[in-house]
Amino acid sequence: MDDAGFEELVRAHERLVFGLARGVLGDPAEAEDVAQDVFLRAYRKLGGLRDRQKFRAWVARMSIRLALNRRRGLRRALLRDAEWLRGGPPPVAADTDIALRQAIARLPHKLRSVLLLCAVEGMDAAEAARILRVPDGTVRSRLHLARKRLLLEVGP
Amino acid sequence: MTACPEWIDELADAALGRPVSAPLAAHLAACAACRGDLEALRARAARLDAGVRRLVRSDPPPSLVPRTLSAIPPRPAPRRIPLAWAAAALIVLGGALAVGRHRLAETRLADAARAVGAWTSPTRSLLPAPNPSQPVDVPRLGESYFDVAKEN
Repeated sequence: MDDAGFEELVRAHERLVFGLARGVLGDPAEAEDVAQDVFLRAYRKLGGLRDRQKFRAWVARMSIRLALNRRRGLRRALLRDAEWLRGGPPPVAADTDIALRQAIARLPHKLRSVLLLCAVEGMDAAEAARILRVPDGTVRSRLHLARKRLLLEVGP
Repeated sequence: MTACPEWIDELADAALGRPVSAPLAAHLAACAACRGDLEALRARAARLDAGVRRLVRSDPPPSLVPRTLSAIPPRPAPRRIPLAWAAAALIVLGGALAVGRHRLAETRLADAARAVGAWTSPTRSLLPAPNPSQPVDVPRLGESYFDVAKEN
């Protein structure tokens, strides 16, 4: 595949990759870094990803994985900063969007991955199941649990 | 929320589209607070899905594609072999081939000489008498191989 073909692939998947990374990380700048990393890794593996469906599933999985890795690193850095600053408890979010984002961030990653895949591009359970390599029923059950937690945690 | 705490879990399930169980339906018929909370949870669920979509479906920044493409490492250019080096390599290869062929001819000649030296006539193996007990001297005239007179 030439560079023009790869550019077409990047443009076709940038929304998915960036959306998943942003869903995990929250911060758009961090999500952009992760998205770039995902595409560069995909470029190196293009030989084994010629099938478009395989490519889509691979970049989706990689986006979630790399975003989670970065989030773990950021959290450690944040904890170090908080300890250094000896600050008080984090401020309570007044805005519903912020509260929702925080509630999504608190979800276990298995629930959050399903929620993001279904929300970012409106994937159905079958496609999300294919990407996460779990049965359809597992996706449906995790999606229900994720929505239920958000429903009970986020205010009106 | 003012719903009965023991029903919150089932109310949330129902608000998210799960079928209302018979015990919950019976409870709802008798509990106005839970009926109110179920309606509130249903409305919140609708807003929740829209909120999640709004949060995660943000447009990627315009810089993402050019930034990604510019970070792709350039492909290594095909290496060009200078003409002089190629000619030298050809000469060395040709010389090696000529030496090899000469040595092969010498080896074959030596093998042939050894084969000629080791050659023996096939009739030589027939020369020894098949039965050494038989007389080998040729009888002279008047003699016989079988001395009949002596035997008698």
